[in-house]
Amino acid sequence: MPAPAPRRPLATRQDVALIMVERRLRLWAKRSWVGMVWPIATPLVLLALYLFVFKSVLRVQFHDYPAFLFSGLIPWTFLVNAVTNSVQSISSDADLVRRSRFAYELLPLACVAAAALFSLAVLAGFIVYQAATGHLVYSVVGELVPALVSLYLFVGGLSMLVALFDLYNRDLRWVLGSLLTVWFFLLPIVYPQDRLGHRLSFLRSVDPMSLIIGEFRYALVSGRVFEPIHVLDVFLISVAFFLACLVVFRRVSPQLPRVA
Amino acid sequence: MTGAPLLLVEDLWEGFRVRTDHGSLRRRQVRWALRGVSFELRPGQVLGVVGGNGAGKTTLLRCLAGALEPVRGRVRAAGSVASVIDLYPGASRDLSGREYLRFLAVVSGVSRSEAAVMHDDVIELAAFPAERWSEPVLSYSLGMLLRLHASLALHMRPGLLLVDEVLSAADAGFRTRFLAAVAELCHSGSGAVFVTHDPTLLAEACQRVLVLDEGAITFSGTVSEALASEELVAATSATRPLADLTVAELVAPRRIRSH
Repeated sequence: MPAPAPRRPLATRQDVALIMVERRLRLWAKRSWVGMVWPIATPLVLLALYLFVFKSVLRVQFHDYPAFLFSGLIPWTFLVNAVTNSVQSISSDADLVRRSRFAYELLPLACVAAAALFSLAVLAGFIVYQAATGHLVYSVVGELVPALVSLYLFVGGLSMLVALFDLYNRDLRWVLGSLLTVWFFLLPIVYPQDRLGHRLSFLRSVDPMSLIIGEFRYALVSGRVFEPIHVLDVFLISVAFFLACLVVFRRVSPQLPRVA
Repeated sequence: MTGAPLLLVEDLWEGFRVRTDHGSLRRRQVRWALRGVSFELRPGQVLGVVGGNGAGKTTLLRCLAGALEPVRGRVRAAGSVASVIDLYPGASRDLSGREYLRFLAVVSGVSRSEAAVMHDDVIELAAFPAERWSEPVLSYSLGMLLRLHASLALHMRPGLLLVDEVLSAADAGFRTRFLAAVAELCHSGSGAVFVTHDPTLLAEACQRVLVLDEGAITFSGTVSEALASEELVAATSATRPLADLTVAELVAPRRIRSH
């Protein structure tokens, strides 16, 4: 077959991924005075709220509670931000999906990447704060790298799954907020892991977020090395979960222009 | 025309699962949008696809664009494909025209480096006021969105250009320039497929015509054969063979002005 038109440099998957993330960031700033500030401010607002409730009202006695709380809120607010933005990422771009063939998983993953940038800004700020107040143990800060990789993979997989689910059934978008609230209180964010009791202690082994929050806390607050076996556990679980979600997404992908 | 086909479509079947009245997909019920469609397009040709609403025209374009994978059959296109199908910006509606153009270009296959420098070319083709490029695309009329999409598609100089019936949103000036640019593109060896209800467009721009009815081809031939055919009369809801109409009758009532 002839190729009549001159060949032009074609967009790579990386080009499409970058432009998707760029669009997400631009859209965040539209019709807003301080659009980009909100994702960064959210964990700070939650920190203030929970400090008020648990320290001032309930009088919880806990050493360095603000740092303990904030180290859990950083990965959690990233998850919430990424997942809530991903859930309608395909259905709100139905026209684009119906007219063009591209890697559709980039739509939810762009939401995750944009949320990750905001989350990294918050994390960097917290590391600087901990260092300035003398609470940072520099030798264990590197432990954050596997924790971040596990977090991004886990949330990336989850985001693809919820975006796909929303295409077929709209129930999830209505109950997502409630489900996340339940999940939040089952995670050791506002309380330490050992307060969960024996009956619910199994959650630690089945919920990767529980271990990821533990990794964040060890590296940022306790200044200790997280058990290597758990670091490996959570990394492998996150990789397996991400790959499983990607495989499911790609298998369903050809159907998306028909369903969107 | 001689030479290898630019586009080869063989026994194309495409279907959608039927939805219930509250929007869920039925398990086993499929509505066929295309039933065994086969045709070819040679370099330099413009094909007009005509048919009533729901005949499968847009589904055919989506298959040709590669957005839909056919249930059966195959589509082989030589070279790159650019399409002007759906114009609505969806989640991108808050982007400015300039930002949206860049986004659309990369998603359509233009590299980021080229998308960053192609703006002036597309502005010239689209020819709407420069200040409108800074405004959000949600403020654009259908005609302006058409200009943006069509200018981008032309800028890409595709091997195959696919244009849905959205061209009816173009004003006379843009339509003339667009058709001239398509003719020049096809002269250089590309091809185009126009979906239309407009016999004028067939007469002006196309060499061959396909008529679709309920997903199947009911007519395939040259434009002059098509204009005399009963199938085209039925597909365009005309009252007599279109070949009997004068040029003035063909052209006059079908000009639609965009904002």
